Amino acid sequence: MKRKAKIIMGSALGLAAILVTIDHTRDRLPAPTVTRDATRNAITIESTRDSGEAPRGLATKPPDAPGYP
Amino acid sequence: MTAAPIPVSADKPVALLAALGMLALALFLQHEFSTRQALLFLTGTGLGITLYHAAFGFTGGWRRLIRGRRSDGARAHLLLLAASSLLFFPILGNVFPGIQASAALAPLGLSVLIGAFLFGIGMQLGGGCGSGTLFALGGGHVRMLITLAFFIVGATIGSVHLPAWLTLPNLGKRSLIASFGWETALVLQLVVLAGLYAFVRWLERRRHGGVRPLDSVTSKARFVDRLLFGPWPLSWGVIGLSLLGLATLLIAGHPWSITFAFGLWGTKLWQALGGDISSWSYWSTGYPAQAVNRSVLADTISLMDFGIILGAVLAAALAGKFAPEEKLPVRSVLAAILGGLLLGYGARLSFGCNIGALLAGISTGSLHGWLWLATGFAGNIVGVKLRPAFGLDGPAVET
Repeated sequence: MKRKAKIIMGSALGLAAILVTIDHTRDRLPAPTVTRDATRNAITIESTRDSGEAPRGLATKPPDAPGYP
Repeated sequence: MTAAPIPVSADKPVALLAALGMLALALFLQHEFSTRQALLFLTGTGLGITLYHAAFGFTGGWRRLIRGRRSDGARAHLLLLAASSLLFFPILGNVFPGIQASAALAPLGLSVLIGAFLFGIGMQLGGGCGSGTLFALGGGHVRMLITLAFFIVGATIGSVHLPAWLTLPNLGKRSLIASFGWETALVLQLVVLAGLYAFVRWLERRRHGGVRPLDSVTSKARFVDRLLFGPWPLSWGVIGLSLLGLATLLIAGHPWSITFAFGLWGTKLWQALGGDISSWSYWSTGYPAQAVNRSVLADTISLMDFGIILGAVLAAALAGKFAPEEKLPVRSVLAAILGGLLLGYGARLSFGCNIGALLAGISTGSLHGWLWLATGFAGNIVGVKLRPAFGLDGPAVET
């Protein structure tokens, strides 16, 4: 029974790790937006990724506590 | 001084895997994001180890008080609230201008009243609170997988419904620190906490003729051995959680919180399965919108939750108690499902769980934390009465 519980827990933690990896990888590989500028016949590629703003910490304006209105 | 020998009972492979996993994730976070993210994850692991070794659960502690008038758990919780208030109030009162941190302020209204009550019932049916679910899961309790799965479902549904709940009457955000100044507010709060401490202690003494000390967990092991392999007395839990809570406030800039991440995970899963969240207004603005559109590893709450689980895996493996034998009768599974849903839905309505709303709210001077305590405890009373219907407790009163 203990062995069975270990297998279940190991599988669950492994699945969670895979899901986190997929989520993180999806974030790292944004689909670029390709637009053709008709006037200059140039192609502009814009990343859809967020600005990667540095997290706030000590001595900066504190962030709102997540989950609070 | 020689290193502490690993006890024969320790589950060495699991302990090694957990330790390596923690190290790898911390290094990855430092490389991919920042030292801050890595530190918050490690703070989470510390919380997981502390919660597990001290068995610092709100659910069991409150049930012991309600059923058997044993106050050790409740007194430890009150001491944690007092210690955290002592540490946080000066910071939030701008005594240290270089340190800025935000309080867990939320509106005092019907959503908190009802949400905390539902959460309280869920605690007793699901078998854990916000922190309790995570550290029991890390300890390898299979039933907690069910509770957590439905906790996530409930939190996701709650986040969809929250905007409607917020249209109901409320008194707005009420900060004791803003109203009275941090010194007066702190004194007021400590007086109330001391009164509650004396009251629950009196209840136990009246029933049993004496009170259990907070260091009643006895062990002949050396201090270092005990620190590594447990068990810890509740008093160690109070010290550890207070200091790690302070570390969270200083590093993250906001107090320790848990259940926001559950709604985030549920929403991300829903999206991954092809679900449309464009009409879910909670996730369309502010921090929630940012969180849902970037890696889950960028969310500090999620990181700390992962840390708590891994820390508890390590602690349980070192204690030789990982993945204990557990029977799962149908009624117990049903209670875990129902409890999980109530926990999740209630947490979202009341702006957090026993950590994010009760501990963080009270220790940063938000009145909604006190409302959460009152109605959450009332929910626990109902939950304790419901437990026998699910075969979770016998009729005998705890002694």
